[in-house]
Amino acid sequence: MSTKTPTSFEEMDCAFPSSLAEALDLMADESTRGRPLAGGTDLMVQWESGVVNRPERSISVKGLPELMGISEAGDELVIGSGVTHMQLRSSDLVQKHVPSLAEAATTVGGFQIQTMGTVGGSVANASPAGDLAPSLLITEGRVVVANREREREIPVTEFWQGYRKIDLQPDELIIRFHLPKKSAESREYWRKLGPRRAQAISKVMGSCRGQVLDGQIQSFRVAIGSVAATCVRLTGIEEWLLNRPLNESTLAEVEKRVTEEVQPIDDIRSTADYRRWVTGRMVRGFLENWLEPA
Amino acid sequence: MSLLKLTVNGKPVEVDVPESRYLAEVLRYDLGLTGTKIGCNESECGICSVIVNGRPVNSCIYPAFKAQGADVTTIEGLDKEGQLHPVQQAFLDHGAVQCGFCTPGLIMTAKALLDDKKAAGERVSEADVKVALKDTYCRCTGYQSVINAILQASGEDVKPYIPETKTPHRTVGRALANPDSLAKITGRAMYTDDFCFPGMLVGRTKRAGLAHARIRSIDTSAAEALPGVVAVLTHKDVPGRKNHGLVSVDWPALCYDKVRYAGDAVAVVAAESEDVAAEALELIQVDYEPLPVVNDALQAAQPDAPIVHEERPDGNLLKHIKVRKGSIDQGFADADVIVEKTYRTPMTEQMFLEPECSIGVPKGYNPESFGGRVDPKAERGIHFQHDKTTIYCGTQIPYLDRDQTAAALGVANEDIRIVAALMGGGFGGKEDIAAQIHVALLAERTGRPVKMLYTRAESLLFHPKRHATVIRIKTGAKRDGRLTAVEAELYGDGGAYASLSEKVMTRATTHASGPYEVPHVVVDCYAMYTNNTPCGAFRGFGVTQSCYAVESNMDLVAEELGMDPIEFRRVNALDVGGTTCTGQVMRESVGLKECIDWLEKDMRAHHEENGTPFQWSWADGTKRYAWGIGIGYKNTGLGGGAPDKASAIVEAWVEDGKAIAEVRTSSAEMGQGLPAVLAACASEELGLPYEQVRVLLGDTDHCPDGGPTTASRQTYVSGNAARLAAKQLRLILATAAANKLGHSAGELEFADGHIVCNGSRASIADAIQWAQESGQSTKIEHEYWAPKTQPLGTGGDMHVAFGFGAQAALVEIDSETAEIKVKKIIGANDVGRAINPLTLEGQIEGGIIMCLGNTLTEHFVTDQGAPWTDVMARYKMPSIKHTPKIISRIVEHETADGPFGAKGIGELSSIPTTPAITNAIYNAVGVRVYSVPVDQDSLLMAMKAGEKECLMGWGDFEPVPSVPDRILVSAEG
Repeated sequence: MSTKTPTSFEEMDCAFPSSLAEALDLMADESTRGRPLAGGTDLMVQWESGVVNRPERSISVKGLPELMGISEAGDELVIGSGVTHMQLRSSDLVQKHVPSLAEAATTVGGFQIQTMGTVGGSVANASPAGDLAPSLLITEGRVVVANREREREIPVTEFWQGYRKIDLQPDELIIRFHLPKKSAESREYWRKLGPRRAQAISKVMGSCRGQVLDGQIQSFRVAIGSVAATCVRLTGIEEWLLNRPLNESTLAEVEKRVTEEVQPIDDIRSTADYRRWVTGRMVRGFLENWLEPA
Repeated sequence: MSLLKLTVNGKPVEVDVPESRYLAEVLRYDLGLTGTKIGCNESECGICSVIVNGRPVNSCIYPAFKAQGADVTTIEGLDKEGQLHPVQQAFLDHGAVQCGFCTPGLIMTAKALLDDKKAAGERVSEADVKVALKDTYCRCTGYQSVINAILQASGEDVKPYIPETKTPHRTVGRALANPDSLAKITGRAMYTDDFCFPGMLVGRTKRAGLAHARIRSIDTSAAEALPGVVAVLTHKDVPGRKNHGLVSVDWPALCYDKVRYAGDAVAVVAAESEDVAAEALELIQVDYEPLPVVNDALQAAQPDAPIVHEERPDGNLLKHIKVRKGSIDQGFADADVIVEKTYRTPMTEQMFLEPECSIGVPKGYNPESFGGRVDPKAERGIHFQHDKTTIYCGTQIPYLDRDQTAAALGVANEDIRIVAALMGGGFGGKEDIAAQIHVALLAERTGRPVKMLYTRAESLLFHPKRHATVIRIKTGAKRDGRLTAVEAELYGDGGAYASLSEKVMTRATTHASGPYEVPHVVVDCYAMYTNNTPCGAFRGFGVTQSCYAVESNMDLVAEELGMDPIEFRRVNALDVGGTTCTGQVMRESVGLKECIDWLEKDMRAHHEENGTPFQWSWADGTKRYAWGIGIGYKNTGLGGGAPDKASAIVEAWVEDGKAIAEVRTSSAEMGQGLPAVLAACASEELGLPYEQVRVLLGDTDHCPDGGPTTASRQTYVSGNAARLAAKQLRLILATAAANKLGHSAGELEFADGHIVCNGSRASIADAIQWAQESGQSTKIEHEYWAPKTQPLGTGGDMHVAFGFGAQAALVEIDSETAEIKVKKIIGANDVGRAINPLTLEGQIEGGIIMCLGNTLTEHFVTDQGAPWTDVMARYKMPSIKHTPKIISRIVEHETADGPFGAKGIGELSSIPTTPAITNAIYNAVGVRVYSVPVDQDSLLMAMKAGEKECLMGWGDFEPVPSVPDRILVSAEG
């Protein structure tokens, strides 16, 4: 144990490029490369609290025009990595086509954090409890990253590789997200559970997208945060549910299967049990929504 | 360094600063806009919020250069030509400003919300406010007034929530804004870190980082050799008394033989810059021999436990406190029902939003030798001469800071001056010495002013917390509901140094049979030394812990008896003529039964409004609902035989033709509204409008000693001192006026700034002049002595008065996740007399929310003396989204010696909330919680398993036995 040395006045080189090209140029060269900094709501805090060592250099990417904007491209929404939580939650497009993402963005912090924090920053932070992660996963969309030379696309489902680990090269920046829209007939839901003991891994949260026709499950995708090293899709559950009738026996069985499928990190005994149980209830609860009219 | 260009509050500014500077630092330290406060430096508390290009941001983590060319609005930019912004005005009207430290952040975030909504043409809902402000903390208000104020500012018709009280006098009893609120809502209020002196150095403290170790050697040579370091001090440089302490003098200013907790100070540094000071700390080499660590109070009591203070005769036993009444064996023999249970409470943290800050200014300091002059804002109407060692700080006890600093420096008390700045919250956590001694030593060594501003991490590590306790309590009652006996055993974790442990745990002990008539009582409390952060004062002062145990057992006994919990309490509630467990006979001012009546009425009213019959619990879908109640009481004043006095000066003069009176006392304002109380007392006595009374607090050279701001005592003692000084001043003015007007002094009426009698009329300003012309001084000092009290164990009056309170909580529990929401709190408080219902309500609502945090979320976690809770983000305190609807009832059973009948309220509201909520949880889901904060995970597991008890707490990895073995045999037997 040691006392922390606060670093608030410590010198750090900060670059403030005015275009994406300029930022990628800086990232290309090891001598000018720095930790990309968007809203800073995660990074600044991690540096400040000493959880993560402060890098020698940072490159501010917040507000770069090429990273902004939410638009439609056919069946997809294109969301710039610099889009803030506030912009996400207020966007008519997001509310209509990936509504669980808009809802998740609403729960990220208060006004200031929503104004400062960005979708790219949240994804790069790669917390197993990142609020936006479940809604991104259920879209089966793509992350577009770039270095000075080229762009590269990665399925969202493959972007988070492990605990706080992402598929991003040192010279790359996250540019935008392509998220397939939900169909008119499908629905999305989002849920985040309330406060729990301080030392436990953060709150359990999840999103789902699915379609039920005449009491039969046509499609169902569900992702849960805080039950593993990364936010995870419950693909076994999804497959099992396909084409099953939405009735009590399915609900009971799915709840049981979920508690067996998720393997929360066993940090504190009761919390692992707790998370297994509430994840089951959450998935069951998602499905129960279809018993009600939309 | 680079050039930063901004538009701040409409004015273009240019400033050359390092690229890594944060916006908050630029605003505060480069531009002198100190209205923007920094609470955590980790984007957690939100109080640093400013508006950049229309968007609210946390300026403490916002790189200044990200704002290059931007339009920045701070709190100083809101009021225009003396016209307050509607949000500011609403905060003033609703009393949504207390200590004022978070206020700029709340106001700026609210403004951004209102601007957004206005642009979108939308109305603002309570839900909008709760979403927008959920990361902007306030530790004083409890948020209800904040929500109401913001809704009012948005154009909704929302009136300030002010509970009904007795018919007011001229000033006393009226809802009036605290005199310093205007400065607080406009960003002009000065807290310690807002002062800046030419030539000032940065001070930093080398902390132990080890919970228990012997110091073999300290080598400061490398640190001293570092360019920019001006002084490095260790224990060898403490010329006077090496230790300090409010009760026992056992806390080293700088450690010499051992370190006893991770936050112990080993050396201090003064340097030209923050960077250099930080580097110097790294260069100080301390050679330690690590020692085994005492982790908690139960371990401390084991015979083979490591000893924290070897020099003490009783090992780790800091104090054994005893209450004896009647014959306990008889009491349990008389009982038909006996319930014995063990409860645990954790260490908790005050989390005042202003981290500790002290500035030492050396004797003879002349700002001109450093090319400047003192910031004129620092003068506060007094011509500042630093003719003695002066310390600026936020403190709850200015005179004891003075005396303890003088002892350490080896000088006379009068050679030290404390200038108390405004305090961004205290709640008990600013009673002990923080950096006061360190900055005085460094300032005198270097001949320059030295500022020590603790980071949030350092503040968490250093300052005393609320005691963790283990409380075994056995309650006996007869079939008819009458209590026959209470036996309790408490273990309190006092941490490494005594601080106020003895006093706090005494309060826990003497309140351990509750505000009930109990014929037979035995309570034993063991305050123990451990290697945790010292524990001391925290709003509730031990009673928050014991009330939880007492009131949980009360519900269990009521259930065994098949009695209604309200009726059971009514049967046993103390009343006039009753006797407390310490043998004090209540002669007056016991409004407890009226408080209980209010709970019943308001719970029933809640159901009537919804068209349902009253019920304790019900279900709706997956949600379970229930009411729970808790009853509490809290002493006013030090009591226990301690001399309890306060002095105040009231001085009157004429300024611009108007009479002005100023009350001066060295008591502390930390958001509880003391200036409002003092001004009201003086205004009432003098017949002078409230606006013409000023208050100056905490300057030991100008304000007499008001004693510690603790024990809910200031309204009572300093209120009385101000009232009685004003009364004497009035007599002088009356005599002077009587001579001029040709009446006898006794015939004169003082009201609205005038003196009237039989058609004659003069202004008080005239009377002041007449008195002064006749050679009379219009400056009166009065020393008020509270009625004498008796030490514990000697019977008689242990306290001058008690406040009584009752709370009911309505909780909602999700049966599938055990998520707990507190929907409503009904709080009824007997305060004697409401001097100012607006500031009183602030104390009540804030206390309730703080205690809600104590119940559901707050836990300062340590392991082997190492705090896990080392940043604010790891301490979950209630935010605006946790705020329930609060119904407040004021009961006024006046106490004869209180000013206008008033007694204390500061702590009372923060006592019964915990058992009210945990009793409600039991009523809702049938599981009793034996450890707070309530562990949602364990609660759910218990609910699922159909168990009736939840024994796991936040810090537990395994269930704990419900009744630990009796393990301590005290030296006193």
